[in-house]
Amino acid sequence: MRKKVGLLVLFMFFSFMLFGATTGMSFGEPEYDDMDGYILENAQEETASNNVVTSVLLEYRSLDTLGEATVLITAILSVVVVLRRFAQ
Amino acid sequence: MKGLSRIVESIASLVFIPILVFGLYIMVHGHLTPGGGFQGGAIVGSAIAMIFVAYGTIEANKHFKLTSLLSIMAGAAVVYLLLKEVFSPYIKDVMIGTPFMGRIPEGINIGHIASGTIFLPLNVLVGLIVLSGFGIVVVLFNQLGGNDQ
Repeated sequence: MRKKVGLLVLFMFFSFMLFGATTGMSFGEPEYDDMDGYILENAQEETASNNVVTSVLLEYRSLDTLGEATVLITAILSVVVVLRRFAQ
Repeated sequence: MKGLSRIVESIASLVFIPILVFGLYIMVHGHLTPGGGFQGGAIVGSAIAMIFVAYGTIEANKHFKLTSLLSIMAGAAVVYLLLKEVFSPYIKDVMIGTPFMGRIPEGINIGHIASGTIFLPLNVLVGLIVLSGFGIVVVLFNQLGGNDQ
């Protein structure tokens, strides 16, 4: 009984995902492309960087990169706090 | 954790410096080629992990201290904050078109390493954060395994 219910739920979930993937938005053609279009057009001239990914990471979204580093530091500090007692 | 055999030790000591150079290349060329601070830091951190696996905990702990790695990580984050969010406009004015750094070709260019004005130190700082974080995790998990050498 449990297996049948599990299989049914799995089948429903799978068909839902397949339905969404086939009839949803088209891949690579977003409805609103103002911002990515702007970044792709102007990133090289505005930030003097050939790599658009780096110009997004360090210029347009530089505070986000700082937050990412803060998350990394917090995770490392929690690992230090938890594991240092066992490591001695 | 115990070190591995003599063969692994010598191969690791041979390969260590080229891996460091490659990771630094990825970091420094972050504004020209694919890659950047995170990727280069991950490469250097994997080199640290290789040293720990090859030489064992006691030998490797002499070179990678937990406190120094922590201070490198925190200091790099603070310098990133100051450099990007506070002093970035002034530094850009100094670095572009002055005798101090030479004339930097602004805009689209074929790949001068000095063209991404502030991206080079920022990429290196992000790489320092990532590699020291990786190193701290490796040091801690190695100490967890016990010092039986």
